[in-house]
Amino acid sequence: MLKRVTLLLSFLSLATSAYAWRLTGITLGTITNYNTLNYPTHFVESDTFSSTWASDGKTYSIADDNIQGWDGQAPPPPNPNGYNASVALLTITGSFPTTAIIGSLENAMPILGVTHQNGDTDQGSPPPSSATWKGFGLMSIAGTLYGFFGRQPEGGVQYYTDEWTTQIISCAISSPCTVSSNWTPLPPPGSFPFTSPMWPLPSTPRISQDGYKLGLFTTPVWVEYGQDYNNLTGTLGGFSLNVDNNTRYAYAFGSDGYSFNGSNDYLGRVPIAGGATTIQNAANWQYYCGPIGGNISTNSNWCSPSLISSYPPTGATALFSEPFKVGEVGVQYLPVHGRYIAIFTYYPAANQSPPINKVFNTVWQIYEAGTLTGPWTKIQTIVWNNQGYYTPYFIPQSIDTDGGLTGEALAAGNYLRACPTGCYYTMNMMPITFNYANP
Amino acid sequence: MRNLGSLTKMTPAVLLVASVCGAGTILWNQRPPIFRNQIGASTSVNTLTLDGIGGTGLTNNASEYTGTATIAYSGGGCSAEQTRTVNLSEGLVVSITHLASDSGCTSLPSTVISGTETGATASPELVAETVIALNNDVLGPGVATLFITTVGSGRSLTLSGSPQTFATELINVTPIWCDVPTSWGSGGQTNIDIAHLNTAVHSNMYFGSILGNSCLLSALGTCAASQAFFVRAASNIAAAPTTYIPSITTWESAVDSLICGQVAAGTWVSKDIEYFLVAPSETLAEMNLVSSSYTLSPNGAIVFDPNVGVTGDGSTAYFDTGYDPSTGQMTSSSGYLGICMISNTWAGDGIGEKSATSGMYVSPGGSGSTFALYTMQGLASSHVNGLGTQGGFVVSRTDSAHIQSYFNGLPVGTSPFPSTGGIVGGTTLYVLGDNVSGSTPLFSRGTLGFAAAGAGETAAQILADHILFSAALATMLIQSGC
Repeated sequence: MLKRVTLLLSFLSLATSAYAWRLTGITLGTITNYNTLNYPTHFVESDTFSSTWASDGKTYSIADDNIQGWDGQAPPPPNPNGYNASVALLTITGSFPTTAIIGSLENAMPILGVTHQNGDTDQGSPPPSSATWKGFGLMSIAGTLYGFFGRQPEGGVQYYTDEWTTQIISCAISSPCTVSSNWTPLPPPGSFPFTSPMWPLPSTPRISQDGYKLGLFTTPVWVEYGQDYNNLTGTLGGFSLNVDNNTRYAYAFGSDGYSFNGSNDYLGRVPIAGGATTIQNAANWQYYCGPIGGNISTNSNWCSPSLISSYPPTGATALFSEPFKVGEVGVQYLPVHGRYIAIFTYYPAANQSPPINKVFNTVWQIYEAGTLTGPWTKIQTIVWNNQGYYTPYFIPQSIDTDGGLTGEALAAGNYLRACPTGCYYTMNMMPITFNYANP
Repeated sequence: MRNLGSLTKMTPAVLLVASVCGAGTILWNQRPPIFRNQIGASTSVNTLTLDGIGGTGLTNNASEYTGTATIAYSGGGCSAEQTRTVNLSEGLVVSITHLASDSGCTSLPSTVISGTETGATASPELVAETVIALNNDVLGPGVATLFITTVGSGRSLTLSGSPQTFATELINVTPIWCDVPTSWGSGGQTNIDIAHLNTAVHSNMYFGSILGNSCLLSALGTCAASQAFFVRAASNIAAAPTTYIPSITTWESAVDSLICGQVAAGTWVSKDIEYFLVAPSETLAEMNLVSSSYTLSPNGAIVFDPNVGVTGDGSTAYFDTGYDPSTGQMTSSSGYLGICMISNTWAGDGIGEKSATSGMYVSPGGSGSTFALYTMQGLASSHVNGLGTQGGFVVSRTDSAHIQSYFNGLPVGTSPFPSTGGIVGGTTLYVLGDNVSGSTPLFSRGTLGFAAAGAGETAAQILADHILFSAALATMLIQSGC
């Protein structure tokens, strides 16, 4: 009953207010360490859990850097280098709001190899170096899973990292996606260069803070709406999701850096119609180049791929811009008040000169906006010096509870307390209350 | 404050600037400041080459303006605020303002500036010229600053008289756009750019344009204490990066509210040192808000994160305040020591100094410990369990027999905790560490937002400080409380 009253009040407020609601911040509930809660029955040593509420009703998630794997299954050790699958696909089960999430390994994605795969041949001296595939945003669109994956040769300071190539790999959910060969295109493992990715390393690459090459539109993440992007019901928590022309386009934010400590983020879009053939063709992607706060539906505000083929991107509009404090970002639409939320992670120690390696010291920057083109307003800073939580991703299915008054996110980290058995990091479940004000 | 309804863009800093405008509309909204008319350090000149600020927005029109100027100003002895306004041709308003704090000037010429425009065409085209001559209250006796802005090109202003020494620098010039009637020509809000110099410096500054569109600005800072800080911070503010969010004007607003709030609460006077470590630059973070003394001196691998705070490494990093408590307001019956930890961290000693016989420190918890330690002028530590490590930790002594521990503005632990006031200081306080006399310092690995020390405060005063500290952090988007 309380939930219904809250929703009713919120709806009435929307109906009668002369002002737009805005997000003022988030309040985190008790953070639950997945392993602490579930070990030894379940445990994981993975990170960056971008999830999607798929057309089949399941929530799928990417899991990167599976050192111990998911319940030790990704793949079963031993492996040649002492590491496990670079990227895995998980199924997240649980009814929201809850912290009792259980992840199950769906696919260890063996074609993407293992982390720190030796034999990389395009990194120059001293060969061979190693490389790792990383997963970023995962999205279900019209019954197909689309994941942004990037190939990261190892080197440099990890907060800025180095050369990237980025590719969307897809799988029709009905195929099923537990079978690796159903994912396409199948890239070479990390020990071989990917010669024709969607976003290759440009001839004149951007150079990271620590002097390494960067690809174009790196670490992209889909903008999250609801189930199967937004096309299954067009609603979330009873509120409409049809905003920002998202019935025609899927959107993703990419950065000019790595997952962390980038300086600018850009918005890309691709037509949904046409499915994988369209979505996985970089020529169909456009990048927002209009004014901040401009009309997202105006075609002249979008630039062709050629305009982002060099650095700095010609014409593309940096919708987030702060030196070494933006990058990979989870963005979720909160339909209850029609706002977007975005959370960035960066490592302040890495911004020193010379960069300092302090993985347990992260900072989150939280932004909000009423439209994807902004203006995005920073509303909160959270210091995680000690826990080192990073790359929080919202679970769209959790937003369905009330349309965005509450929700849940998954963040990696807590290096110091990750696993009862000792490990680098794990999944952390974060119940969130979204705080609003009007005006 | 009038005419606020016509202000179309306001940053928090604007709220620091009172405006009383005539027919025009004042708009100002951004940094970086404009420095285009800067005169060299202590240069005596009678010809100013000004490139002007004209056209649309902040377009820098080189060689737009050339003028000859003299300011017949002799400083010294002004004991009260004085203002002289001289109208030049076409309504040009020249003002000189003296702060009450001026101590050097003895006279102010009745005619400060006179001059004749040359190069101007029809009156409506020269829509505004402004000369602001600032007094010597900050830049030193005998130093004045001439600043001329205009619109259009080919303008010059000849001011008679002998050469004068001009300001060493123009700092924090905040661009201001005065709206003008469209009947004047191209009209619009960007046709007049009037800059005022270093709003951090002057409590009152007059400027104007033709047709009586004069405006009154006040200084950056709403109380004398914050104005004094902004005067000292002016060059550091000018050098601070402007690319971080929140903006530097938001930080200025936070600092002003923080300082003036403490003045109003009666807690400012008790502080010998206070550092707001959430700042756009490390240089600003290291400044003592209270006085020009005791600027923080960094050691080791301190991580400064703009607008977030400073973080220690638990092994090498600390700030030396240079402040020996025995030289300040602390006595054996009075003392205050506080920090705000904005990370939930195994923190260690956040501030302190001690010897084998006495000391003072605040420690939100050593490695893995779950209790906080508070000590003030003695060896007895008040242990308080279960506080966590994030928030405001303060220890205060208001008599010679007890100390009181506080967390987030409220008393905690044994109230009051018996502790006989002993030796006060003897060595300098460290921040992000503890200066252990004759031994290796103790270090923190926490992230600090505040650190302060001085005379003892009451519970009500500490609660007031807690509210102010937390508000300042919230203004900087850090909502962890203090």
